[in-house]
Amino acid sequence: MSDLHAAPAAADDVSWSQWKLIRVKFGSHKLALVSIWLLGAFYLVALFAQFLAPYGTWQPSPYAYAPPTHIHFFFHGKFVGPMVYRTRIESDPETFERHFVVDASRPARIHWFVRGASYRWLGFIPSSLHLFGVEQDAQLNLMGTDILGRDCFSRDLIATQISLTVGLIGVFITFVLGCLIGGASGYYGGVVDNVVQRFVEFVTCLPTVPMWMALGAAIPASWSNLKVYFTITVILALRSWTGLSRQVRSKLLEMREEDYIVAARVAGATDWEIILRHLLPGFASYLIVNLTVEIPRMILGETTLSFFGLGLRPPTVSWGVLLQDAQNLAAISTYPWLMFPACMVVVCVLAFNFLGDGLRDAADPYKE
Amino acid sequence: MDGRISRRRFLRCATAASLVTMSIRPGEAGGEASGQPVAQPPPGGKYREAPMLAARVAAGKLPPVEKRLPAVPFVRQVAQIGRYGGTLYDQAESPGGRFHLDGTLIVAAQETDNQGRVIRPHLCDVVTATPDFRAFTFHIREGMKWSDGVDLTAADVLWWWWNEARNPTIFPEGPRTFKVGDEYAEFTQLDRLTFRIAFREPFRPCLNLSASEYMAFGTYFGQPAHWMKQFHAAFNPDADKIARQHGFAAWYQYYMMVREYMHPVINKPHVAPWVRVASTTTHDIYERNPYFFEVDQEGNQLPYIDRLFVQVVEDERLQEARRATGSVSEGICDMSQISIFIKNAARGHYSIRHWHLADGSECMFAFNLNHKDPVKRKVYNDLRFRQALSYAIDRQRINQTLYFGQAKEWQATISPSVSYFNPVWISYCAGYNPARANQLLDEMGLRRPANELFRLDPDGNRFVSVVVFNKQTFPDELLEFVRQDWAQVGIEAVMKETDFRYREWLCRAGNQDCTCWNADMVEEISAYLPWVTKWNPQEVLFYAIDWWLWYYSQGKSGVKPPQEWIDQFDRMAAWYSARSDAEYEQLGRAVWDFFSQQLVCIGTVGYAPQPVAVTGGLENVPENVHMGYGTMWAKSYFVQTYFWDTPEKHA
Repeated sequence: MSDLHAAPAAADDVSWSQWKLIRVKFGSHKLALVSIWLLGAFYLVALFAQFLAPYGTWQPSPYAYAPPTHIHFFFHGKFVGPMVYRTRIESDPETFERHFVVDASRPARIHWFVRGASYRWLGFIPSSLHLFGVEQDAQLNLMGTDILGRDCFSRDLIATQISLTVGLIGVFITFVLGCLIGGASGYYGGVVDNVVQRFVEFVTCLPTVPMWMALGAAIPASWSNLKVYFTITVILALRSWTGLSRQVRSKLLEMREEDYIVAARVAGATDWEIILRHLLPGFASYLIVNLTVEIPRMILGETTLSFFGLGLRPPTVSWGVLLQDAQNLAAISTYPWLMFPACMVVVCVLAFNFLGDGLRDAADPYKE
Repeated sequence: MDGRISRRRFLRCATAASLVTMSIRPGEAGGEASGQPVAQPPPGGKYREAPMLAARVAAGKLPPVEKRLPAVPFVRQVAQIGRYGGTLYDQAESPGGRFHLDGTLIVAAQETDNQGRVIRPHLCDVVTATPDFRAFTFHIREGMKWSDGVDLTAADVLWWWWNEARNPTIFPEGPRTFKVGDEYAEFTQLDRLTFRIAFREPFRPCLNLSASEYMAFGTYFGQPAHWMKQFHAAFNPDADKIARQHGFAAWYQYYMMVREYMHPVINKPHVAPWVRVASTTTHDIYERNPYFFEVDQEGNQLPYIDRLFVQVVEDERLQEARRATGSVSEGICDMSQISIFIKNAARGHYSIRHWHLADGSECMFAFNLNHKDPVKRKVYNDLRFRQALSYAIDRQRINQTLYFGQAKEWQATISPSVSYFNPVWISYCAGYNPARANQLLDEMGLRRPANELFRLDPDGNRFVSVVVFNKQTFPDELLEFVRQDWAQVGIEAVMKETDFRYREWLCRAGNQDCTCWNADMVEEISAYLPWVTKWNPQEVLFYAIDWWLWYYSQGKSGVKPPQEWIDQFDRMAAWYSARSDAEYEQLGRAVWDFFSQQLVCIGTVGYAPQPVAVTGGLENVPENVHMGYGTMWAKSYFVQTYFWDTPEKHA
């Protein structure tokens, strides 16, 4: 019995499956490991943002430009758990200064699972439950507030939803179109290749900037910002798959003559099976790099598009939009907490790059 | 001989002039400490000049000051007699471009004060109107000169009128000013220094025009003919060649360039306190005009400060940073960045003055009453809709958050300093009352289904209004406040920023839902100029372009307005040709009563604080000023009276 059990284990030691090889290789890339956890956390935050945020995105308060609230654990020397002090805003019309006066006699406990601003989770499940919060008359602003008195922490969290997702759709469309069209072109060659390549050349010729500007004028003004941005990402994706498709094509042209492809064909595999199962995995490492570079590019692209007046604008909340508020001197010198989304962008883009790095190494586990 | 006639004319006209001056300013005279002219010339008729000019006189390069000043200079009462010398620092976005103090370069036939209530003679010393306000006679100061020493005469005005304003090559559509209906005014030169502007219909606002930039010499009015001729094809066969040398295709293009003063052209003869002597890609230099016609009460020729140095700074944020570090002598402080200015005041050697903007509303919204879509048109034309949206705005919150409670939570209307003002106008639907707003919208049939955020239109479709706007003086956050307030009562608005031109095209064609602008030109003088008031349906806000078109084409095009609007257009026309003060006030009140009751412009907050950073040591800077287009920015607070306590430190 024991021999029978031991045998496969021993076999495992000498011959690991492809997936195991990839896992082990990836595990040895420490930065990539940290990155994948980080990105996982980011996406979890995005998924539950409204629940994690103590306030709604647009919930205004009279506390304009309030600095981050201090959290205290002791009241009169006794441990009472996390709490904040109530503050009062005093604005001086002579010096145009706002003072936040802390009233140390009136603490407010931080409660867990409280009812607050109502929202629709995932767009359709109505709820008003928040992970934590304080009473109505107290303020808990972990990241301070902006000029309209809105809670920056809540806005930072909710912004991850747009920033981490909308770009992905564009990347996804680019990736699918690039692989399929490039794959078909490279694999079949001949007339198909000729037609596809001429079409690719045509698409590549469309100038981007005038196209964006034309789109900016053509899209109905009554569309919501998000819809406009989404449309533009999709259209940009429909324009940008050509680069990837060319690379896929040339790679396939090279690989389709390899012996193992001929073998597969002899064994009776269909064309699509050969492309998807034998050819594409052959240069997966390349595709992964392309993908992981493309995602942060889309995230950064959000801010670039704003420059043309085509990106997101308030009332939509995204990292780019939040950073627009921080583009001034006062944000740097007086309200530094407005700059926090910049850190999120940097961390996120780096994480994607490290992840790509790790995945590329892992996808090609035999390479030293 | 000439002199005797004009003296006699002077005596005859002076009485009439004072009558006119009185009649345009019912109410008390503007009580400013500084800048008020005095009637008395300085004792002894002895004038003093800046050392910089004295040196040039001594070197024989310039005639003495008595020869340069007019026979009777304009005497300006200054709070403190200044010291000569030094430089004022400012910044512009482009060479020859606009800068904070550029209003000071506007010199019109007459001038007004910072309240926009008084009209008094300035470049022209005698201005008379016929009792029916059809013809206006202007007498230019005897001995008035351009900055190159050439006499400024009525011929310059006539030359400008026929060869520039009415020249079909330069202005194919003709000038908009000096035109009533389809008829141009008639310009006549009566003698060397006197010209007359006569209208077919009575046109009382001509007096207001004469104190505005529309009659600013050397820019929009009388030009230095002797200098401009070289660029005009009718006077110089080589004008095209000159234009090509400067990179222009044709003479009239280059002529357009040199005609307006805020363009990078140097040594153009002008009448302002300072004239541009250098314009490079990095800076412009304006030097004192040796022939400037103002003196202080002790006979010192103004201005006190030798030159303006205007640094070209293209980037808006960099401009702000420079203001915050005291790189300009007087600069506005952006309210949203005010903390920076306060923090840096000591290090930047400036102090902050609490001035105000002259805008009756920082931002006011006008819905398109002639909307092409019948459903929207019906909703926007319903007064209850506009009332509801006004009640829905929490003006106190806007004021407290953005303006530290220093703005006025008033309805958009003209300034309370206007003689025919009715206090009801500022409070009309200006109180925050969302319950009343909801009630009005419910009554209109704009239903809000259960569990929905926004109301539907009467047909049950999504009802969204797009507010097109372009960047203005007001902060973007203000629009966000209004959007939220309207959303609270179920009205969905999308604030869409567009290009300046695009907004105008869109609105001129009547294709907008709603647009917004600040309520400037609200003073007694400026509110009476027909084509600048924002309540004019065919200007800026374009809220009833088809009705206006119908009225002015006498029914040939456009859409027939309701009778009450035809009455209002009639009333406006009658007001502009009012013949007596009583008629002017009575019609003025009726015109603005109608605008107020119709609530075509929904206001937010007005007369917002505008802190200004003033470098230490700069004197004669007024304590409180109303800044804006209506008061012609720096024009109305007399920068020529500024001086440095230690000019050598600010060379």
